[in-house]
This record gives sequence, structure tokens and C-alpha cells, in this order.
Amino acid sequence: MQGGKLKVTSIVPDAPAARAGVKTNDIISNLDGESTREMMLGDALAKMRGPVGSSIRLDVRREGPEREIEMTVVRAPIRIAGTDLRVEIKDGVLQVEATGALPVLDFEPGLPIAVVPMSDDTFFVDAGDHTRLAFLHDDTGGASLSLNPGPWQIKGRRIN
Amino acid sequence: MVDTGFSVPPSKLSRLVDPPSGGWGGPPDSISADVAKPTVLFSGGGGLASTAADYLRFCQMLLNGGALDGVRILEPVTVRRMTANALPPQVRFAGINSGIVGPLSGSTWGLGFAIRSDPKMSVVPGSLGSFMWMGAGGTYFWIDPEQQLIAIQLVQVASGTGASFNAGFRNLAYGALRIPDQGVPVPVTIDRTALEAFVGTYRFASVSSRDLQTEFGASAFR
Repeated sequence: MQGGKLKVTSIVPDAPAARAGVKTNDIISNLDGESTREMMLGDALAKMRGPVGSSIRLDVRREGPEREIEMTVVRAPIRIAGTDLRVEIKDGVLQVEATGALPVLDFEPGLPIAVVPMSDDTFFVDAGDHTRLAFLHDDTGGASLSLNPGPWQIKGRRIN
Repeated sequence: MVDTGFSVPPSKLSRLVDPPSGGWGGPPDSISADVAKPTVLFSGGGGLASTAADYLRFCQMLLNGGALDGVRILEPVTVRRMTANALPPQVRFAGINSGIVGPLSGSTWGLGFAIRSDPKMSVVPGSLGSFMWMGAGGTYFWIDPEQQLIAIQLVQVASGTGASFNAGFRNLAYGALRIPDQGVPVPVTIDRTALEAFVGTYRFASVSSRDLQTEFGASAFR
């Protein structure tokens, strides 16, 4: 909140608000028709949150010719990219490489590593810390990858 | 702490790191005060000059619950109040990259520090109850009582540009923590055509084994 106005300080790339066209420095004047003037930030956040797939209407004020803009944001889980792992088949074996900003466990950008099967859908790195990988397909056609499944797991979701 | 104060004496000026050119702006009695000159303002909010070795001792005192080397500096109850949420539960912080000092999404205020309080909303790894603060010039520290971890970043960058350094340092620090030895599995042979099902790019919101987060549920639209 700035001067009683709900102002966008930064945008998460590829997240629902960005996809709807919300930009940094936008002033959100109404949420589903309700004025945000003097609204508590916590209340505004609570109003914006909701079930995945539901939507909320934003009235946005922005500097420029088109000053009042109405946008509809479709809610979806927001993931902040820590890092990406690219999984490919190279020379008949599965190969994994970090492609995001950060390394994760045995995987580093620019250093693809072949992983060895330990069951039909689990693999491990035969070097370093022997990071384990468990692939899982869900009912909706999505897929996830757990690194070191169990109490120390780090879970990722397939994005392509 | 032998190298910490609101001004740096002439004999130690050669060890003082200059802030980046371009200046920090602000009134003369703000955090941008010239620490090379004596001051009468002992701000609770900024302006301290210190070293990694000194600040580590300060942090270790806090991690110990208020005492170091047999000397009690703060009562345990004081440290607890500094490092426990002091706000009503409905107060929440938003933002993942404010560029200024203070709590971010998933953290809250104690009477002394910003505390990581909500892993689902947090954008940085760390145990619940980790507490931290940062400086406008890029200094940053956090203390993770559960991991018995102290991390201190002493850099001097343009005011408000330290956030990416903080996030990188924190992610790399937790990412470097190893998990208990799992042993080496026995390789098996599987049908190579089955490998096709696993090809793709997988996005990980955290690189830390210490998070127990399935995904970062940062911010509002969730």
C-alpha cells in the first residue's frame, strides 16, 4: 500500500497477473468491483487469493493514454523459478542438466550428468552425492520429479 | 567485538570499504552518514561499520540465546522476543524482491528481526524461525537456529540493489547442505524406450533439501 493505494511493486514473470497484463507501478483501484482505497494489504491479499482456475477482476490505473484498464486474472499456483532441470536422452541414457540460475544437488548448469536406473522410474547419479531421482506421472497428464525422495526431497514439476 | 562502531578511527580507515560511487543520498544523519567522522548519532536503524569476524560473534551470541564466551549480553527471554513473531496473525507481508530492507513474503516481524514464519509463502529457503536483517548497501545476515547456521554477507552495492545477492547467497548456502548418506543404490537395466516418458524440463522452486516445500506458493494469486 502506498498513500492508501494498492500499488504493484514487482511482477512474477509468467504468473497469472503477468499473463493478464499487470505491470510494475500499476495501481489496482478495484478488486472485483470493491475499492482498494484504504484497504489493509492483508485484506487485499486475502481477496486476491482463491481456488485455482477461479478469476478475479482488477481495475488498474496506469500512467499513459489508456489510464483505466480492466483485467481478469485467472488464479493459478505461482512458482518462483529456483532452477530448472532439463532431462534428455543422450546416447541411449537419461541425462540431466540444471538450466536455471542455480545449481541443485549434483546438477549444475553446463555440466550434464547421465543418471543410472535403479527401478522403472527411479534413477541415481553414480558420482558426487548420489542424488536420487523419482519420476511421477499424475492423473491429469502432468509429471513431477522428486530429488532424494523422502524427508529431504526437493520436488519439481514438468513445465513442457 | 573490536572492530565495530558508528565511526571508524583513522588508524583503521585503510580497511574501510567505500560504498559504490554515485552516492547513497539521504540526509546527513541517515544511514549514509560518513563513518570516517565521529558521530553523535547512534542510530538503531543503521550506520554501523563492522567486520565479518565481529559480526559473527554478535550473531553467535544471538544463536546462543544471548551469551557468548561465558558473558551474558541479553536475557534469553529478550532474545526470544526479538526472534518470535510480534504481530497479529492477520498481518502479512507481500513482495518477493523489495529492494529495500525488511521482511518479505512469508516472513514477519519480531521485536528484533524479520523471521521466516510461513514456508508456503516464503521465497527463500531456511528453517521456520530463521531470522535475518539486511542493510541498504547489500549487507545481509541470517541465523537459522534449527540448522545452527549463521550466514553473513558483507558487500557494498548501490542502495536497494542487494536483493539478488541476498537471494543468491541464501539459495546457494542451503543448496550446499548435504543430506544424510543414502548409500549407493544397485543399478538395474530398464527398457530404453521407457526413458522417453521422463524427458522434459522440470522446474524447482527451491534448491534446498531443508525446505520440505513442494513448491513455492509465493504471493497473492494462489
